[in-house]
Amino acid sequence: MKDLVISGRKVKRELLIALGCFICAVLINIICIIVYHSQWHEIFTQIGFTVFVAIALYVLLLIVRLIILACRKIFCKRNK
Amino acid sequence: MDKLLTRKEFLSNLGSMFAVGSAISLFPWLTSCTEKGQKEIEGQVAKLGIIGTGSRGQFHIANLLVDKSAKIVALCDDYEPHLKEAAAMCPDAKLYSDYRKLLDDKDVEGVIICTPLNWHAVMTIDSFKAGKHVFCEKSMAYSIQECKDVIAEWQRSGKVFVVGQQRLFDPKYIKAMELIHSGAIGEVVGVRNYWYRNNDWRRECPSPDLERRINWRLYNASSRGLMTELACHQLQNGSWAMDQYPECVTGMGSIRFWKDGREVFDNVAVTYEYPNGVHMTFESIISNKHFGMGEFILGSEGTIDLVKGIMFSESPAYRSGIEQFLMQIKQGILSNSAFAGSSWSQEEASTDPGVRFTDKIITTDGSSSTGATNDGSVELAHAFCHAVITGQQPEKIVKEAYYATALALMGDQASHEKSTLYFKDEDRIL
Ligand SMILES: NC(=O)c1ccc[n+]([C@@H]2O[C@H](COP(=O)([O-])OP(=O)(O)OC[C@H]3O[C@@H](n4cnc5c(N)ncnc54)[C@H](O)[C@@H]3O)[C@@H](O)[C@H]2O)c1
Repeated sequence: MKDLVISGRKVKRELLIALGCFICAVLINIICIIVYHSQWHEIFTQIGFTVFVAIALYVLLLIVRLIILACRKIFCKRNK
Repeated sequence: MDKLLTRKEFLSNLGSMFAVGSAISLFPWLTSCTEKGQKEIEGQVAKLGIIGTGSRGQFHIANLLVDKSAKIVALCDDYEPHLKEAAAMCPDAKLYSDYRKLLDDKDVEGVIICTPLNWHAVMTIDSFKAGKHVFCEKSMAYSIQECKDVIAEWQRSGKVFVVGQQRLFDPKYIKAMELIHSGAIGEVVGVRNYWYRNNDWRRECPSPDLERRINWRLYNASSRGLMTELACHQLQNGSWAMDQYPECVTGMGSIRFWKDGREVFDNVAVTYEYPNGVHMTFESIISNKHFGMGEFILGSEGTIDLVKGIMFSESPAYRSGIEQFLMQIKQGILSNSAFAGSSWSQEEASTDPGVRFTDKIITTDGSSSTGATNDGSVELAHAFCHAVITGQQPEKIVKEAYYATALALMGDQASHEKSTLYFKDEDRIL
């Protein structure tokens, strides 16, 4: 079996994307608090939902990135 | 689509809502949809004739062709293009241009009448006299007197009678009514119905001579307009929810936008009052579709949206902002919250996203004038086949149809007269 090597650069990039998603989720939570006139302590108390939204965003982004990658590969093959 | 599968889905949908047995005791007209009902008619077919093979007629034909309990043996239409279209769907059926000839056909056990409103009473009465079972499309008839004549002839004939009020077979409505009757929304305090479209309601007409035949919906001689074509379905909601019938109705209507020679109103606003003081409204405008179709039962403790199958509470449990947002995404009803206030401030619209009370909900937007799929029409037609084979009259359907039609007709009259009309005692016949 071949060893899979994940470079530190890649791990760092994924961590940064995950952090970006989490920040977006926190922002969504803040917007929801404003739009639905709910309470500010929900920034902390609703952390479970925030993490859930962050994961959903990360997965969504992952799918988009995979599609772009696949398209690029097809495009490169054709150009060759 | 395999209609048997649809019925299975219907059953499983019902089953997920309540034990099917208890559903049947509460809603006995659904017997034909149960396994017992299916067994009763196994291997047997109802031999049917379709009178009026226009859009609704062809809709029923398409559904009946995949129903093992139905066999279409005869078709009748006095407009050849429609008869030919239907004949192409059932090549073995005998063709007639005069419905009385079809009624003489001994092969025909039951008829489905899908002609314009002005023909409903005469065709239904003639069918009973000819010894046929009848499924007549809504509305039951053009006037209350005609409805009474139809009922009298039905009672004399001892035959089966079904009218096209398919909401009685729609799982959303069935579950909603069960919830309402069990007190889930407290006391019923209001019923709100509306049906908005933005189209002229016209059908393409190959020649000006055919205008009144093809566009029969637009003329007083053959139609009572929005009230009998649309309201008739929705006016059933209040009576079904409260098990009582209105005492009076007031209304208004006009031709505001489609001034194209039509005689029926293009917008109406009608209000009914029940003996317990509840008001039921019906509004329709066919030159603006912003609000689409809506049917709501308002209770002292909650509201039921019959069209979407959602129950809202008057005092919803507190939900955080993000939770409300996620629920709205889940339910696919991203309402414009900028217009809605906070859920705990009175006098402002509630932002409670509510809870769905049925699985696999199928909603319709009310824009089709042929009929929507999965709105109970398939099950209603199947119930008719079951009734033709067994000779058993499904309960409630005729009563509901009679009052829905009577209310629609009174609403139409009130809006023409701009008056208040009272439901006469002699018209409370069932
Ligand atoms: N339950 C529902 O949801 C629903 C939906 C649509 C229509 N409908 C009802 O179905 C009925 C038909 O509506 P439609 O949209 O199919 O109209 P349509 O105009 O498409 O069809 C009516 C047909 O009846 C035929 N016809 C008229 N007079 C006749 C006669 N004397 N003998 C034989 N045939 C005759 C016409 O030629 C036409 O083909 C109406 O009563 C309407 O209210 C019910």
